Amino acid sequence: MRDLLPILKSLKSNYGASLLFIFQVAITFTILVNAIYLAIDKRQSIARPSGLDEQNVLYIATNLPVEEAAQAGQLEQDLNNLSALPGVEYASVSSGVPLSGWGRFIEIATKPDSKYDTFSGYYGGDLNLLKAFGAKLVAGTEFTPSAELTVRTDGHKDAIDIMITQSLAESLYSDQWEQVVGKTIYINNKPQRVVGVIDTLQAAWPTWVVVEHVVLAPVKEADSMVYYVIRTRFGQQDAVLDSALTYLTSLYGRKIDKYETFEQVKMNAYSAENAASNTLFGVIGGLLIVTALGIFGQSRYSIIKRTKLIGIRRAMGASKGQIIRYFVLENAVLCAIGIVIGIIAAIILSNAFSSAFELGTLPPSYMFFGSICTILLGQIAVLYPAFKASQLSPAIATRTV
Amino acid sequence: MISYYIKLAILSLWKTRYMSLLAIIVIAVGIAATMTTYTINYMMTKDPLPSKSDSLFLVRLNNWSPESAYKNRDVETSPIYLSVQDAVNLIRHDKAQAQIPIAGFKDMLKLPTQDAVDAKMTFVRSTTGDFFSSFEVPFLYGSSWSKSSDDSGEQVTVISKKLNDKLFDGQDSVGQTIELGEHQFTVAGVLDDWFILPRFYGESTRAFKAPRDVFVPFQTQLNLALWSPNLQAFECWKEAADSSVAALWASECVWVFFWVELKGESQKSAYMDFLQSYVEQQKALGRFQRPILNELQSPSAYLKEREAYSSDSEIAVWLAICFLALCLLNAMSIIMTKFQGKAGEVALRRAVGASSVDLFQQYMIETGIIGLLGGVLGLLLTQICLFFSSQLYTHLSKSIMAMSSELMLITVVLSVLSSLVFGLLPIANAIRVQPATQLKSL
Repeated sequence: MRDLLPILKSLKSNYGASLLFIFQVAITFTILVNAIYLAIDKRQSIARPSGLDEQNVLYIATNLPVEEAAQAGQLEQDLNNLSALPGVEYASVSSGVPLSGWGRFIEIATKPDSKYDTFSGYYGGDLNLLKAFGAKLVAGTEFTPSAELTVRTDGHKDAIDIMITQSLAESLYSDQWEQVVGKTIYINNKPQRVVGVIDTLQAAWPTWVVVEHVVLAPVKEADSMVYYVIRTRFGQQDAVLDSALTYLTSLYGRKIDKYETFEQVKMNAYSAENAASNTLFGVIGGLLIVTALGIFGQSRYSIIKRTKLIGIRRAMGASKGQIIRYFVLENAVLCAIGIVIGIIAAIILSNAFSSAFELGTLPPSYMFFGSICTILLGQIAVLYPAFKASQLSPAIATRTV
Repeated sequence: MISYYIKLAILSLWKTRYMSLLAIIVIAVGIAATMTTYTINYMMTKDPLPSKSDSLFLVRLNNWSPESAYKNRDVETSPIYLSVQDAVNLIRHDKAQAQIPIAGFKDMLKLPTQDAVDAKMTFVRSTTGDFFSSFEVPFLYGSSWSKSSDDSGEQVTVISKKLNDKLFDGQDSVGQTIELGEHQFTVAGVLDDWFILPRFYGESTRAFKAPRDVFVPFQTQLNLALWSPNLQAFECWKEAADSSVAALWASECVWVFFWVELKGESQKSAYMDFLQSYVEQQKALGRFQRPILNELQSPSAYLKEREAYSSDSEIAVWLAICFLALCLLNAMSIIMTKFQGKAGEVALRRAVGASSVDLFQQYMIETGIIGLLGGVLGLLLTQICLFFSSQLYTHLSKSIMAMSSELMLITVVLSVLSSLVFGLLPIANAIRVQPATQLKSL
């Protein structure tokens, strides 16, 4: 610490370069914490649980290639045959698939006369749909078989009993969300009775504000196009997909519109977030390299400039370790000043971002970890120049520079 | 004199080649990051059809339930699409320069000679012949279908170049036949490469995806009752009479985007008057029981309202600009180091009579060359970054990742200018040297 005073004094005589260095550190810090925050924010939205048994669920969109009057019967037959395939845990039909972009949204109110309190995604299917998704109940009971209906379209208008997600229940009844079981809520102004609360289940649109709000109803829709949701035993997805497609295409006139495993659905759903977070990590990487190069160059510069001084210090008896310590400490002091400015700038930038782009503001822990990273980066970049400085021979002092 | 300075500058660059290279690389990295993100953001938010931006409009009519406003909003808005009957009525009245319904379906596509198992599920865009002229769609072979095809709903089609390459090996396929489901369509035209960005005319969620490969007349879709329920959003406030497609066509369900082309304010106000009288006439027939909220919305206003743009790319641009500033600061410190070694040279030249302006010019040229090289290298890096971005951003179309020649020029100019600005301090530092102090030590 004896070096601290000379360091501070020499800053004054060399303020141009020092100021530049401090600026570099401040900007690095500002970008670093904001970019890491944004990248992690993206990662977190990807990592949110969908509520599904993600590894074992797949869907097949297909038609019911029979006359309209026979469609409900064909649906029933398909479901029975799909359930009977080896490796299938549950097969169900659904009016939408989580995160796939294909689904329906509805308006929810707690009173009959209010317009709406919130929005929600909606899935209608047979009694197995909850299990086919692999979602779990946290309150209430499952649907009774008598509640099951079959309609042609828009099943949400016919539903009598429904289940809702805990997140939706909380938005309606806050902490007393469990009370919702047995209550009547209004869906597009039609009364429906809540029988159960689902732990987690996501709606069809990953970037939707209320993606965690879902209503599930036991209403099958035997339309010209249906989505079969199949949950397989672990590791049997490929085999089940093959046998399901073989079975389905055996019927004349069948068109397979699309099929995907839920893992593929999720990958597509978050491709934008994935790309953005990867880009941000790329930026962070480039940033660290450029800054390290910059600090390296700066340190070399300031050391070359002080070659003679170093020689004098060595001639006066300073050890190699002391020379290294001096430059390492100088670097740390400059970094620290840069970080202080950087923290202020980062807060300003983060506030600007959060008001312009509706993002959260930086939590203080980022400042702490960001500071440690920046100091470490500075120390790593200065080590080699400082080591080279310590190797200078004391005889340098005797030469004119 | 300038050529002499350029020669000196090149000599000096070579003398300090590692330092200069480092400065060039650092500038290039900053330029590449900024231009990559800027290009992506620019392509995503640019005006899709600058020549038509004030003459194309989305028609919105307030066709919704008498009981509640569309989407139950407090500030009532009109749905973004029309019912089939309104689209058909507006086409029949023929009051706009061009009338472009945007609808679609999907079906199994194959050549008549192909086996049924080779048929591929294909998205089909149904519209009118006005689509191609109004949206300035280029043709490779043939042309748009005729007005009479629109009126009578003939089974004609326009296909994309990509599909033509696949089905007909890129040959002129005009007059050939393709099969969509059970129906045969005659090819009237083949599009040339066409990729409109952002694609404003349909669903905003697909604004950055490729246009469809098969186009058929809207009336043909209606006549043949081609309907794919899970293809697009459709919203109904009133049940269709029954579940047939004909009933859906006659229902109040809205799902057809309807664009019109109107030249100038007079045509626009005349069309607004027409819409007013049309809705009033429909009111007399018992339809449109809500307040009249006719609207002609521009492409950019539509995209903005539907939030087609993600703010991610804008954030990335701001981060990249900060990053560029950092790179330039780094380059500045490297240039400073470079010029520090020149103290002797500066002193000598000053002592033999060069003015500080001369030296300033010479060093500005040297810095400018660094900026130029940094810009050119940055441009190369940008192309590489854009290539990798196009691999990474699989959800966006590949053509987003293309730089226009103006952008390239701007990049290099930006690089030279910014290095000159950031070089000012090091140069000022370098030429301030007192000749006497340095000459002693030479």
